[in-house]
Amino acid sequence: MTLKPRSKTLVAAVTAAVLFALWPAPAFADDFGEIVHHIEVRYHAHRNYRFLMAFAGWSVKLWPGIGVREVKIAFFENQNLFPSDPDKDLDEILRQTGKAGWQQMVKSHSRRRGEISYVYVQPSGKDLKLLVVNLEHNEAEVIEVKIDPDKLEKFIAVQEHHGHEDVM
Amino acid sequence: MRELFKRTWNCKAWAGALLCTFLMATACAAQNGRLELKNLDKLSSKAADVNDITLDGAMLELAGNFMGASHEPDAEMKNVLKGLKGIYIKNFEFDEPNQYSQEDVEAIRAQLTGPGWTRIVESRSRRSKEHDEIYILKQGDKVAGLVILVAEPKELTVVNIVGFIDVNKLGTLEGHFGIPGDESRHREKKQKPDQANPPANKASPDNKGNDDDAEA
Repeated sequence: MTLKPRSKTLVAAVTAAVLFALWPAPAFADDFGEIVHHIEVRYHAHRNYRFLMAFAGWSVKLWPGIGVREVKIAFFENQNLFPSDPDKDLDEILRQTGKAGWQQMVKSHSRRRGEISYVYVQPSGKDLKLLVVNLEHNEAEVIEVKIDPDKLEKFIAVQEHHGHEDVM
Repeated sequence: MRELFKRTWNCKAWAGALLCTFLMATACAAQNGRLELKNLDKLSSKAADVNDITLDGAMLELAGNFMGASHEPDAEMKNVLKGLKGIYIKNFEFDEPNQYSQEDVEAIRAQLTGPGWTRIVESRSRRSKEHDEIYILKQGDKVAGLVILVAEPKELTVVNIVGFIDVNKLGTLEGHFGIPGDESRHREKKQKPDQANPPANKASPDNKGNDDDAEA
């Protein structure tokens, strides 16, 4: 089967558009990118499910009714991270994020469990952005999500209502 | 000699003035119900576990929005959250005892000596060397702030709730937003057999009369 030159151009354009849409955010593009880049460099870690996460981030935009406007996720699984004493560089990056309007909500550090967790929040108009960073011995997650609290509340209320109906 | 005395006296006067300014500033900060807890940050490097929770403004509003009005416990919690301006929690757990100093705790207590603040519960246990205190900030008939200070040899916890609080409904916050609830308390006691007293003897605001030394 051979494609006509015009079809080839169309296929190439569609492929390029899909790749562009799914291509994970480059490092340093924002706070999320900077944190992910820090984990990759400091712990020599590699992101898992990169395209799947990018796809998930892209697909939530197709369902505006659920109240989630944007999702960026980076997973690091089955890796030797071992965040020991407080990761001062990460602390510094997160301190800098404060200047960008992020407000620290949770900071939890356990030397016993070798776990560091941060939750930052930033009001963005009537939306709310959450940034979650979690580092453990063998895995890490960085999640940034932008939600519309009103829509999310309605969506959850509807789901709860359906849940009650199912039970009855 | 006279000159030296004069200079030393000047230095002391300046130091005194600075100290007064600092104390007044911290006391004023505590008048709106929020404590200045930055002096505890240095403990992070010594602690085995550190938990620092800050819930204010938009996050409290969001949490309130997610509490369903139809579901009764949620509706009650929503009412409690409505009057709140912030919930601030700092918790440090250490592997060894005496990793924090009395000065660290006194710096917090000093902020609670300002007008409006009243200690409503104090509980000391000689057995577990635990010292628990609850303070409230009164504005007229209303409670505008609350502080729970728990100092144990291997743990220091400060819970600071800012805003108008119905003390009777405060129990609804237990187990939410990082505030310890019944379950976590039972779990903690199970994890600390060396410090565990029989449950009936354990110090708690609800059970203060059973401890070694308690006052309300």
